[in-house]
Amino acid sequence: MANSAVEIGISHAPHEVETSFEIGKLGMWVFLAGETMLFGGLMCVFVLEWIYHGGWGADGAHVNWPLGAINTFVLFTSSLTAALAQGAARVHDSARAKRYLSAAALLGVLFLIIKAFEYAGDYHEGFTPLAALFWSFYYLMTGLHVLHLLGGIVVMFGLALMVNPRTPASWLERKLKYICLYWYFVETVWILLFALVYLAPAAG
Amino acid sequence: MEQTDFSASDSLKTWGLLVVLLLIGVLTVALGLPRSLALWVIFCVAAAQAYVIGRYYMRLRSEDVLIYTLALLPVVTVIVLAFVLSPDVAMHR
Repeated sequence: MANSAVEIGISHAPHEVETSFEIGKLGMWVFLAGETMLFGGLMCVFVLEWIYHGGWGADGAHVNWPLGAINTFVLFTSSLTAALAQGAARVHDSARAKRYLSAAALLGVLFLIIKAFEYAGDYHEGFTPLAALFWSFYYLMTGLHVLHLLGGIVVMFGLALMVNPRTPASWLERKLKYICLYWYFVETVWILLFALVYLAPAAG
Repeated sequence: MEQTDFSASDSLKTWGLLVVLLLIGVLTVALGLPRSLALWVIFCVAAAQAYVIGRYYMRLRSEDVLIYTLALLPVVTVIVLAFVLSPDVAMHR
């Protein structure tokens, strides 16, 4: 049994384990399933309102999709550095894993800064959360995503601070697996939001 | 059994693929394609990006049936929710 990880499995002999999985990974997937319901429910109502009430009209056309595209690129690059951190942890290079993890978190901060400029621009033009139903959905869904991103950034910076040359490689690899799984989920949610809230309304 | 041979070069290839798909989606809007065609391309691109992340970054290609169930169950539930809510939203206003 790995250090602090609980494995359950069905074994036919003491030395033979047919199937096994980490409880931590299973817990993360259960959590992500709940998060999928949260974002999925909101997106579902957004699409139904769109279909049954003739689109989002002029409100949807005002969304700043070029900034959204830049933010998508930033998140893709952040996920790349997170994947590279996992790769470094697998070969027991904790210093490199720490650098890549910090880069992923910093790119997350860059996403938030760009998003803040975008919110400020929208607000300045009068597109407040109460301006129209589209903007209520826009602020609710993107704001919820920002909160999730913020949580991921805090955990990644916290993990990066905890890593030192004496950090056990298996411990780091496992923690990175969980936080990266969450980070990729947050990226996937953004991809769907970018298509639904930015590109599709801008396309007409 | 989880696959662990996902190298740095694989990560870069995955990132490159995601960026190319992003450019396709953005060009669809920038070029002003007809609305129905643009929407079709945008949602296909988003689905492809989600698939790439799930398969290569989240390692779903090497997960067992329990994880697949956990990943797909909420998606199926949301689709069911869409059908259940549909008449209510249609008569809302």
